[in-house]
Amino acid sequence: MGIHKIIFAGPVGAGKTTAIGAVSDIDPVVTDVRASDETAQLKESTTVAMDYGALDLDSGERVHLYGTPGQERFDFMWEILSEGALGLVLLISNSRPEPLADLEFFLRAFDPLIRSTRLAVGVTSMDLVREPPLADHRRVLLDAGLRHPVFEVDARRRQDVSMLIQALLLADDPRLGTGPRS
Amino acid sequence: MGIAVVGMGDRQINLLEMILSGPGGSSCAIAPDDRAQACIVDLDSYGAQEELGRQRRLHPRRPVLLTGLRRPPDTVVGDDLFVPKPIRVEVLVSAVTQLRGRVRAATGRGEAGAVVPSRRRAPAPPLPAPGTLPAPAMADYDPDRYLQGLVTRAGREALVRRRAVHLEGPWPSITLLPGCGTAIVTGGASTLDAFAAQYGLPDHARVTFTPAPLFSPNSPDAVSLESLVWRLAVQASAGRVPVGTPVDRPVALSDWPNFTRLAPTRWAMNIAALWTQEPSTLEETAAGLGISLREVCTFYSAVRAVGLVAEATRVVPAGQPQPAEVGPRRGLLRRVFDKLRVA
Repeated sequence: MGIHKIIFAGPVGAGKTTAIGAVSDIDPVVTDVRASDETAQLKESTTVAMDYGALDLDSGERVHLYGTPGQERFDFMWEILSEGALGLVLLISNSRPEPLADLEFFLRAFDPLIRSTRLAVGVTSMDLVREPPLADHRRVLLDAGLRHPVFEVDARRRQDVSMLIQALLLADDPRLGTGPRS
Repeated sequence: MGIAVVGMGDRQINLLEMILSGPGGSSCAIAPDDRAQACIVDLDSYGAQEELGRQRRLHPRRPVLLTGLRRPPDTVVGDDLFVPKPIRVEVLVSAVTQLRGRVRAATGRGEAGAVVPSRRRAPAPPLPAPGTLPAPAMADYDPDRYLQGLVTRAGREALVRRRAVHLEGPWPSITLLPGCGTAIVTGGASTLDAFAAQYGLPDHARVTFTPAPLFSPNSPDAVSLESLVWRLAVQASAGRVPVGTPVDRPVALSDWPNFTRLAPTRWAMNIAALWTQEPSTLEETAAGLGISLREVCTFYSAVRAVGLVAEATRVVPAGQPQPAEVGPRRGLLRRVFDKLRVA
């Protein structure tokens, strides 16, 4: 039985750690430390290795949820974590200075994973900052030749994160959950 | 002959019915839009120009009788009949007779369709019974005869005027702030569900544009305008499609709806996934996904209401949507999906 995993990526402060905690069946493993670099201006602690959570299926299988560290200097981790993944959940925070540039950056960084599997984008902090609207985020995807789900997400809400993952899976097979079980 | 009436309140409709059934000789009666052969439009009503344009698009050969205080030169065109206000009974009867003659000529029939029994208000088209199997023919509905249409038109006009707009009627207070894409519904959008499902707009509905809205977009009753229109469309549709839907054409979506902030409809995400990948007709969608056509029609009505339906170009012949992966991996995806959907 292979290792099944879904990757959560995005810039610092986008809500990756919170999102994994919202849907995980186990207490998430968080490798946060007190931020000492420019991240400290955004939040008190930040992920330095990865976040980890899991979805336990009735079949006994486990789907691992990995959150990548947001800083670029950890980008060597991104490729390692992405190997064999089912898909990518990309979280972008509208409260950061340039959310669309963040989106472009992460689309490029995870291009091989996106092209070979699936993508769903969650835009966080839209309750605080409405701009740029979802339409602008979608336009960035279209400019990259991608048409994937883009939802407004509150990373604390299990329902939001769950819908994002459901859309991630449906983007590949619209029949999931309909008709007879396979 | 059935006549659709646009832009008239209950009192005007009552008067019109009395004229048609009395001096008019009962040869014509008021009918729902989908059963009418001609229409009368009150040009002085709110949104009349837009409604007239819609009538012309949907029914390009349907004879039109216009009424108003004055005769706008760019509005009364071609064979349109015009009856000035105040309306004189004999002028109206004469115009309706001409209207009937034009319908006869257009249909080539001695009698211009069946006379619809006179009623105070045209009845709503029947709703398909919940839980029934897909109907062989899709039922349609006219969004403009529901709260959905009123909110959509008011929002559009408010955007042009750069004003907020208040909609007052039997429903809880509705304020639209189109500039920031927000609506404020007293008590929340769900309080409108029952009103949204009702056919026909009340006579006393008031639409007021104002430069100074009474509410802030940060009100606890604020919802996005998109989610409000979506919700109203779901309620009005009830398994039907908007009148004029080209049901034999494949449907595509320009984007996924923002599902986390919209009222859910059954199988909505499955249908969205299909329509963003492979344009399909409504019936193909229901058959391909193995779901009820009613659910597909409701979802179509909602995505159309919020402007997400795109021009569809089919690359390959439609068929069953093909999963990208088969075998154990697909089974795994299904199990993950089922777990999340249930949780």
